[in-house]
Amino acid sequence: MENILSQFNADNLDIKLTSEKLFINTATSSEAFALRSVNGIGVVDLVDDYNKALTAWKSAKHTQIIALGAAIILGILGLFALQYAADLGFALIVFGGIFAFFALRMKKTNDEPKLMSAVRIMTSGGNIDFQFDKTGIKSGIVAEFAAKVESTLTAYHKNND
Amino acid sequence: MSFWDTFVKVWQVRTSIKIQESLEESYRVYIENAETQANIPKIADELNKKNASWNEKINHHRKKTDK
Repeated sequence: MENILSQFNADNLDIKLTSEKLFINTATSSEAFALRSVNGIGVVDLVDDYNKALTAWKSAKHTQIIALGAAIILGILGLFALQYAADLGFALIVFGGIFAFFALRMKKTNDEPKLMSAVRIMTSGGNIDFQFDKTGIKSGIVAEFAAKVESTLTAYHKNND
Repeated sequence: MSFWDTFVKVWQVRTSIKIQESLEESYRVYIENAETQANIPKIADELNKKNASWNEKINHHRKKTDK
C-alpha cells in the first residue's frame, strides 16, 4: 500500500499524491501518472482568458447603457407624442419598454469576470490544467497540495535519477 | 471579352478582396490592441490583489514542507 502524501478535493476534482504516483479523478476521467513522467507543477494566472472575458463584459455593459438610454429617450418622446398622435406615442412607449426589458435582463446575467488561475501539471505527454480561484475558499488547500507535489517531485527525482 | 481582359478583371477582383481583408484584419488587430491596453490596469490590479495573498500561502506551505 502506497503512502498518501497529500490529497486535494474540490468540486468534481480529486487529486491524490503518493510516494510513487499522482492520481487525478474528475467528473469525466480518472487518470494515474507515475511520478517519473511528471516533470513539474506550476500555478499560472489565466490572463488571456480574463482579458477576453473583461472585453466581452465591457462590451455588454456598453450595449446595456445604450439600450437603457434608448429606452429613456423613446419613453420621453412617447410621452410627448401622446399629446399629438396617440398611436405613435403608444408605439414609442412600447418600444422603450422593450429596450428597458432587455437592458435590465442583461444586468442580471452579466457579472464582472474573475481572474482565474490554474494548477498546471507538466507531464511528458503534455500539460494538464485545473482551474481554481486564488482568493477562493479552497486556495489554501491548493497551495498546500502544490507545495507538497513540488517537494515530493524534487525528492523523487533526486533519489531516482 | 478576350482572355487577357478576363485575366485582368479576375486579378482586379482578387486584389480588391485581398485589400479589403487586409484592412479588416488591421482594424480588428487595432481594436484588439486598444481593448487590451485599456484592460491592462485592471488586469495588473487583479494580479497584484490575488498574488499577494497567494504568495504568502504558498511560501508558508513551502517552508512547512522543507522542514
